[in-house]
Amino acid sequence: MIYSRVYQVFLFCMLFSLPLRAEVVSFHFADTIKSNGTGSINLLKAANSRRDITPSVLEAFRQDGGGNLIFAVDVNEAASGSESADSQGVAIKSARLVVTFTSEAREYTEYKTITRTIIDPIGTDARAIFSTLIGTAGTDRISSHPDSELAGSSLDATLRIPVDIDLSLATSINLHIELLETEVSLGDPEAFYDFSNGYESIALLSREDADYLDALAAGRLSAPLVMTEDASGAGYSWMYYPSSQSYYVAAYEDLFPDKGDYDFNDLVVAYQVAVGVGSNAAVDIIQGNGFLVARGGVYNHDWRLRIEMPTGTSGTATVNFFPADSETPYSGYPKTVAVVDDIDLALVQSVDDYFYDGALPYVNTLVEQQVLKGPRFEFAVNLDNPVAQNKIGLAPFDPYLYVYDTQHEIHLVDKSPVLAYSNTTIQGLSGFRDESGFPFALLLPDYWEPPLAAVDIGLAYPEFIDFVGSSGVTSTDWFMRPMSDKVKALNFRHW
Amino acid sequence: MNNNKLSKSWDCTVRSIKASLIIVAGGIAGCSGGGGGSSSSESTVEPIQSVDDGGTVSTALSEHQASQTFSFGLYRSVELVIDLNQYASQIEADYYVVKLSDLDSNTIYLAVHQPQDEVQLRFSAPYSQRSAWLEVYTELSDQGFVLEEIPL
Repeated sequence: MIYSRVYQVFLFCMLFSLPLRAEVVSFHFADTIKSNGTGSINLLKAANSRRDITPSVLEAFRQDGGGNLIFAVDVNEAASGSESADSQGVAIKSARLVVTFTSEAREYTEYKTITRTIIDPIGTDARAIFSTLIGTAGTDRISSHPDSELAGSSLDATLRIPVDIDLSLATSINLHIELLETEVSLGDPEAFYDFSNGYESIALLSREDADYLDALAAGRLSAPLVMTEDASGAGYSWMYYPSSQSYYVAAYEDLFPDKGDYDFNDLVVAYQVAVGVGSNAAVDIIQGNGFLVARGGVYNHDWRLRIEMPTGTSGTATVNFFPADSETPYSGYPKTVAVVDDIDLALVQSVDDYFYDGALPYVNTLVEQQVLKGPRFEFAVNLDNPVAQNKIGLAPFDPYLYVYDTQHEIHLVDKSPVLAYSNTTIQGLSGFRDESGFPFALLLPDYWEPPLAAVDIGLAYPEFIDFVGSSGVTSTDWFMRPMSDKVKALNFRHW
Repeated sequence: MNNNKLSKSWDCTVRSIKASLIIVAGGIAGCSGGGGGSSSSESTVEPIQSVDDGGTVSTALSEHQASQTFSFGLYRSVELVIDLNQYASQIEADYYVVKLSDLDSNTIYLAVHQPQDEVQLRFSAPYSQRSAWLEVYTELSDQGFVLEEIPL
């Protein structure tokens, strides 16, 4: 009993002999960065009115951050141009912390982010290095603290401001931040790092939550021209095929080896590929995306993309598949596939199950049909060992069709069959053109418009016949001059 | 494969690039339409133009190779080698950005490099696209930018 009383007195003395330190739990501010790209954030006002944020609380955050206030920003940009739900960014023009005490005010204008880029501000005609904030549209952030507002949020990137003064006695603390307007007409990186969608919410993080967010590096892999603080100063570099904002379009006639109606719309697929080169100057990731454009036949297909790799290549591929305009994948996706030697991915499996217009299997190929956006696919291949870029098969790679009904595969004319189980392989067929030299697969730019159902491509594009007859010497831009009443105008480039 | 005859008419061609190199000081030339710079034809060798204070700059573009096969694909593959040392000896900076764009300003390649890098690019372009744009710039806004049209 005596020991117990002594212990209680000891605890009492300990509690009142040490300064009380507020608990550091990440929270959102009530103020945001507005759609004009500026924000004046009152650091003493939390979004959750039940959170009592005092100067002492902010001082506890400063100490927890090793002398920094660590902010996090939810990058909330329009998913257009090279920005997407998976990767979007803004650049910071200025950030200024103003701490006011009874007798003085202090300003802190130094700040630091994990990423930077070289970019042209609007109206200056001069590029310079700016700090950037990169993120995604994801809302799956996690935290080990049950009350942290990082958990379940879409906070993306951190911003650290070093502060060398005790904040406990401050009377007001405000952060003034301005995002950079960029010269978007230059394309990327300026187009990517513009701000376009405001508002961007902002939070104060515990160091533990900040470390998690920094390690997550949301959206960073796919962002253009990322400079980090590592030894090289350089981030990932990407080679885009055909470019970061355009697509190859593969179109097929699926009655191979019979010519059929030759309308070249039995399946039309748009795709692009990005090859990533890391600091080792070799390729260690290949990713891509695309979507179904049109379907003018009743046969069922798989659509596959093969990329030739050196023998012995290994890695892991992730394939995802989404309904149009949705970020929620179809049931069963994402799928993980082992890569051995060549990359050969079934990016669309059983088109019958995903691409139809009501009761009709035809999509975007009939005159009276309203345009229907097709499902979207994404893939990423992480190679176990880096591969020299010149050892990878040439773009546009090998986009091909497998037709369930005929069990044939259909490639571009300079490719060979690859599926051991296909009738094409079993019957020893190759070449993928008929006896007159006409192909069964075409690769086109993304402003091409597919012929209407049952309209021969030679009628929809009169110069096509000359193109084939001349072995590709003349009429090389035949696809730019359709008969407008014989094609389906889809404008799918910006789907 | 039965396309040997057709392929022959599209044999690979190798040619050195001696196109003009434009240094635009203090201004960024647009990729589309050639704003801010002049273009050159494949067969024309133009004198190097320099409008900054750093004197002349020799071309860093060593060669490119376009290989073509008649695949009904309407795209060809192009290889490009850029020796950044050529720039680094005359424009001192920590970072060199290499950007390759198509005629619609769509990015084909965009990366930060070190001054000593030799950049090897393989890209694809439609047969109907006759050129692409190469830009090399640094983080030093007053040191000028390189803009070069690459005939394909």
